[in-house]
Order: sequence, then C-alpha cells, then structure tokens
Amino acid sequence: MKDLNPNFLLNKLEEENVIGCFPLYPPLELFHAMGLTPVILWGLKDSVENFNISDRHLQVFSCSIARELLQFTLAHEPDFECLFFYNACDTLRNLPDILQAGMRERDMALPFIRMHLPMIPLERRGASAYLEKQITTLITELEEFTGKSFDPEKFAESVDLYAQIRELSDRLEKMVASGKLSYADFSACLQANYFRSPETQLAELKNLEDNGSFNQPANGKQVGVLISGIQPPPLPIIELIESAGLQIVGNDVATQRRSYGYQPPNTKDPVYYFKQFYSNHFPCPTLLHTADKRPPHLVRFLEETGAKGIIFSAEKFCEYEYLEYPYLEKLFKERGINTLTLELTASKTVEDTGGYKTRIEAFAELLKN
Amino acid sequence: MSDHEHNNITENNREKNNKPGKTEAGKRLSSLMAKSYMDLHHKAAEGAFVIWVAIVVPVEIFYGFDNVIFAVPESHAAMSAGKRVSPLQCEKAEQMGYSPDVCSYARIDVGTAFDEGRDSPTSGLPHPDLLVSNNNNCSLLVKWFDIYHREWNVPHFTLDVPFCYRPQQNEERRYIKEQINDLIHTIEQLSGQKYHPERVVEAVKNSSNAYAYWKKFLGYAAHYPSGITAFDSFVQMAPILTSRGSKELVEHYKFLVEETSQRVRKGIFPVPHESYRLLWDNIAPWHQLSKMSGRLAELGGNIIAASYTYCLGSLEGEFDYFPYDENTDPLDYLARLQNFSVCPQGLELRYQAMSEAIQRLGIDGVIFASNRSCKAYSLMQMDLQNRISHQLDIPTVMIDVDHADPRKYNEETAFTRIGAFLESIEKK
Repeated sequence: MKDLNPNFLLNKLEEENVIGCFPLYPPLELFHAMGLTPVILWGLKDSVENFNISDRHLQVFSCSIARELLQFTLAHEPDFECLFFYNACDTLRNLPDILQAGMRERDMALPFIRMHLPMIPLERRGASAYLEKQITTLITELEEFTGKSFDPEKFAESVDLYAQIRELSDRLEKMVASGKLSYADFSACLQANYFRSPETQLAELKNLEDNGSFNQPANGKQVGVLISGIQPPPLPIIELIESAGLQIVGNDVATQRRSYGYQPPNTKDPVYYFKQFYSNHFPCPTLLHTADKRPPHLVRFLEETGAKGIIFSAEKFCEYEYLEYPYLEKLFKERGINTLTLELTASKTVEDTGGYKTRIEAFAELLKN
Repeated sequence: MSDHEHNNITENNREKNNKPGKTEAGKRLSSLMAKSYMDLHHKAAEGAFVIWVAIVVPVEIFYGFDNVIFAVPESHAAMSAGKRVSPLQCEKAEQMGYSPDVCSYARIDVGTAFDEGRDSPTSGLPHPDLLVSNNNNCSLLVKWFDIYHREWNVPHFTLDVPFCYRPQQNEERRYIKEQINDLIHTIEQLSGQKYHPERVVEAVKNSSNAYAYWKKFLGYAAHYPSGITAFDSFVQMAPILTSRGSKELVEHYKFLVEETSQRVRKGIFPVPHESYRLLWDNIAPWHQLSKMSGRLAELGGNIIAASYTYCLGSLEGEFDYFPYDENTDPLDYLARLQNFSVCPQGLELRYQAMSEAIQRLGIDGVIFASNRSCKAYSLMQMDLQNRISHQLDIPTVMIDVDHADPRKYNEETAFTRIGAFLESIEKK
C-alpha cells in the first residue's frame, strides 16, 4: 500500500496557477480551461500538524474538513492564485468569511471568487436561469482575473480530460470490486489526486491500473461491502476492513464515486455542461436537490454490486450525513443489508484502532454467517 | 418563549423588585399562543391544508388561501425546551439513531413527531400536507424536513436563498420571488384552493405593522435602566413565528408597546439596579431563561438586547425597521426580507448590525453564546467577537450553550465566565 507523505499536499502545491476550491464539486473543467489548476481543499488531514490556529477561529464542534481547511490555509499560506467556493452546509458557507478574517489577521491576501449553486431541481421556476447567470458571471470574473478570454475549444478539451479521469476512476473501482486492486491503494491515489493537476491525475490513475494489485487475506471467505461517507475512512481503518475479509465492492464516498459517478456529454457550452453536471450529479447530501434520488440510487447500487453490508464512514459533526443515517439504515435493514457506522473525528491519526478493529471484525462475522 | 418560563421570570422579578407579577402582555401572550396551537389542531382536524415551515418562510402568502394553515416545528421545539420536556424528546430521537451531535431542535421535533406528539406541550403538531424549508437560515433544516418527506411521503418544497456575504442583490431578490410564486402555484395544485393575492397584501401589512411595534418595544432597551430584558423579547417573539401576517399579532404588539411604555413611565424596570447593560448573540437558551435572567439580575446584569430578536423586521446588516411600501408588490417585500435572521449573513453584515445596536443602546459588553446546536449562528462568532472587542473596545465573553438541550449546558461554568466578564466591565 502506498504511504502518504505527510507533506504531500505542500509539495504538490508547487503546481502553478492553483485555484483552491471548496467544497467538493466545483466547476473544475472551467477553471482548467481558463489556465488554472484547480485543487479541491478537502481531506487535508495529512497536511496539518495541529489545530492551533483554526481553534482561534472555529469552534471544536465543527467537522474536521472545516478545521483542517482553515488550519492548512492559515498556517501554511499556500501559494494559491485565488480561492473559489460555493454554498453547501451551514459550516462551509460560513467558512469564507472566517477564512478571510484569519487571513486579514495574518496579513494574507487572496482573491475570493464565489458562486451560489441552486440547491433545488433546475426544473423549478427560476433555478435554471439563475444557474446560467452564475456560470456566465463566473466566466466573466475568471476572464478578468486571468486576463484570458474564455475559449470553447479549450473548455471542450478540459471536459474531455476530466471525463477520462472519471472513466478511469470508475474502472479502478471495478478492479477493487473484483479483487484485483486494494481499496486502500485506490483510495490513497484518489485522495492524492485532489492536489495534482488533472494531467498528473490521469497519469497516476493509469499507473495504478497497470501496476496495482491486491493480496487478499489468505484465510476465510470474502464478503462484499459498500463504503459510504463524506470522506473515505483513514487508511488504517481501510486496512482493518480489508484484512477482516470484507471486500469493498463499491463506494458512495463524496471524494470518490459521488465525484466521478456522472459525466455529462462533451460540449463547448459551459452553461449546458454545468446544468447537466449539477442536475444529474451522483446523489450527495451536500447537494440538497439530489435528496430524492439518493435512497433508490443506493438501493440499486447495493443490488448491482451484490454488497451484503454497508459501512458508513461517519464524519463527526456532519449533520447532513447524520440526519440521513437512521432512514438509510432502516431502508437497508428492510432489504436484509446490515450497516456499520464508524464515527471518525478530526484527530490527527487513528491511534487506537482497537475499538474499530473489534467492531469491524464483528461486522465481518455477522455478514459471513 | 414558553408561558412557564415567562411565569418564572416575572415571579422572579416580583420577588426581587416587589413589583406586580406577570404582565398583562404576558397573560395575553399565553392566551394568544394557546389559542394559536388549539386553532391549528382544530382547523387541521376540520380538513385545513397543513404546511410545516421553517421560521423564515414567507408565511404571509398562506393567507391568500381559504383554508391553509401553518405550523412551525422550530417554535414548537423552543417551547418544548422552555417547558423542560426537551431531554425526553431528544432521547426519543437518539433512540431512533439520530446523533446527539445533531441540532436539538431537530431531535426534539423528530422525537415528538414519531411519538405522535406525546410529551409535547401542544400535543405535537398536526400532520403536514406540505413541508416548506429554506436553506438560508438553516440549511440543516432541509435535511431535517427530508426525514418526514421520506417517512411520510409528504411533498417537500425548498426555498433556495443565497447566503448574504453582502446585502441582497436585485438578481437574488428576483430569484427568490420566482420561487415564492412557484410555492404559491404548488400550494394551489396540492390543496386545490384558489390563491387570492389581495389577501396577501393585508397579511404583509399586518406583518410590517407588527414589526413596527416590535421595534418600538425593543427600543425601550435604550432607557436607563432598560425598560425590558432580552428575555422578555425571547418570550414575546413567539407569535412572530406562529402568527405572522395576522391582525392578532399587530394588536398584541401594540398592547405590548403600550404596557411597556406605561411601566417605564411608572418607573417599573426589570432590573432596577442595572449596572451592566449586555447584549446576547445567538438563539435564546430556552431551558435557562428564568435561571439566567435571575442570576444575572442578582449580579446587576441585564441582557437588554439580542441579535436574535433585533434582527426581526430589519434587513440584513441593519438595525432599523424595514417597512412595507404599500405601493409595491408584497412578494418583493417578502423576498427582500428573506435574509433578516442573523444566520444567513456574513461577518461584515453581522458586525454592522451589532455595532449599531451597541452604540444605540449603550451596551457595556457582549455575551457570545456558542451554541452547539446551531452551527449557522455560531461558526462565525469567534471572529465577530474578536472584531467587536477590538474595534469597539468593549468587553466580551463566549459561553457554551445549547439552545434546547439542557444536557449540553453547564450553568456553573457559564456563570464563572460571566462573573469574570462583569468584572472586566467594572474595571473599564
């Protein structure tokens, strides 16, 4: 399994023209077409040493994603060209102003670009036109910021590049499902890719496809499970899952399948593209308008993958996810699917895996019997 | 919010100040709230179309229909906390699998709703025909209402309102207004009732007039000593949530203003020996109103204003009343007011309104209540506190609370900090 370098992100930010983005589903193709390297600021656990700065701005009952993002940006003062953000949960929408206050305190200055993403179906009155205005305004802002004109041809090239990344990610997930690749390696690669240029991402994924492998545990039968969460479990937890004889036959992880699970058709028209992208996005609790699609989608996904259980990688203080668990658990239970919820916190590492190990092994036994 | 809490406050004052107990406005409030919940159940039983709403949903449009009523789960949750039944209801939700880290309003509501209203001070709320949430005041509430949408198969309409890092723009207002029109159309389709826009004009006038009286009532905080406490405003704000748009609301607040005016003229003050004029930032700690006001009064402290209540009837970032212009479309007014509550406002707007309140009311210090159950309100307070302390040079303190779950509040810890805070004011 690959070992994540604690300074991984810092090193990788030597990329040029970086636009730091949050939360999860920014218009990457547009930024790339405008000559920027989009980096999604999500899952920065390995890039922060502590929360000494974040804790002066953000209460500890915030999720680790917000605390890590704040700590990373204020402590390391990364060499971004600018920051982009759109609306998501109550925590993340407050974060830009908190970040700005922290930056002001440290004499940091970075341009901010904002977009409001409609959180209602685009078929609803006003929503489609509003998103169109948001996208065209964003293009204008980017043109002013970069000094470059929007080029539809370049946009189509960027769309194609990201389409290849998503397609390859999907293929790798299937390799994991068939036991040819470890989920730990897959997960580590995708996490690392967040901080790479798309060209490098594609190369890394191809490398994993060519060279990845998985040594399945020698004893005992394998049972398929799905992983679900706003982030994948930390690598030590994934190792425990895989070594317990649980084969990850699919994922509903925000940084993974929820990100590459849908690819709009190629086009030179960014408005059309992003309407498709957000309308048909793989369901995620952070995209409020996808709520109706999520339960049937997950049920179908479970059936397709043949998973016998689902493991929720639960981000502590993520109320969006927490409010869905009881209903989903009930839904799955009715279909004979068992669930396991592993609550994960902002702590630097999973020092004590003992408690997790016992629960994961017990869950594996339950599924095998 | 609750009658019980109100009783406690006024009795406390009677003991300490040798003043008459519950005010007439307090008694009227009790009647108004009781009637409001009784009407709700009665009309629902008679076949009215029931809508559950988030608190900032423009309920005035419901008056445009013959038989549409609305219930406010957040208000019911606050009342439950005031009546001290919230731990019981929270536990019911927790037993269903809802994390104790989830907002206590949501847990109270879920616990009540799935136990058919048992242990609720109002026997719960009548079953909804439609759920209307919005994502600006509290985006979590959209997920909360999704629970009922999924479990009960009740339609769920969400108003998507952009967050205000700056004052609302025309484009945003148009977008919100379109959605309000869409909501009207949705109700027409689901309820089979015809919409009468002229009735909405009246409802909006009523709300605007009620806000005008509300602002006058809050204005008595400018008196030395203050004519009111923020606890009074916490209690008295309830009908803004449950009866907005009604004539009864205007009448009630008119009475409240008249009575408060008389009390001030007569020299009746909630904290006569007021030494510290304080401002509260966050939702009220509903389970602590009596205790907190009593202990503060013993220390000479009076929380005379709160961002939670001065925002009512104002635009984002402002302190003054925002009236309805009768020559304009009422839906424009409703759309423009959609960011009135503090939660959908950025740091600059929160600072603007708070600094105005501090200067106008002669505030000596600010209590920032860091509220585990409301990230929308709380997760900007540390920087707001820093800015208020340094730019306005007044003492501030942050205490930990939970607006409706008393299990997450430690009174002694809070008052240790408040005690030190009052000393720091004294030293200035």
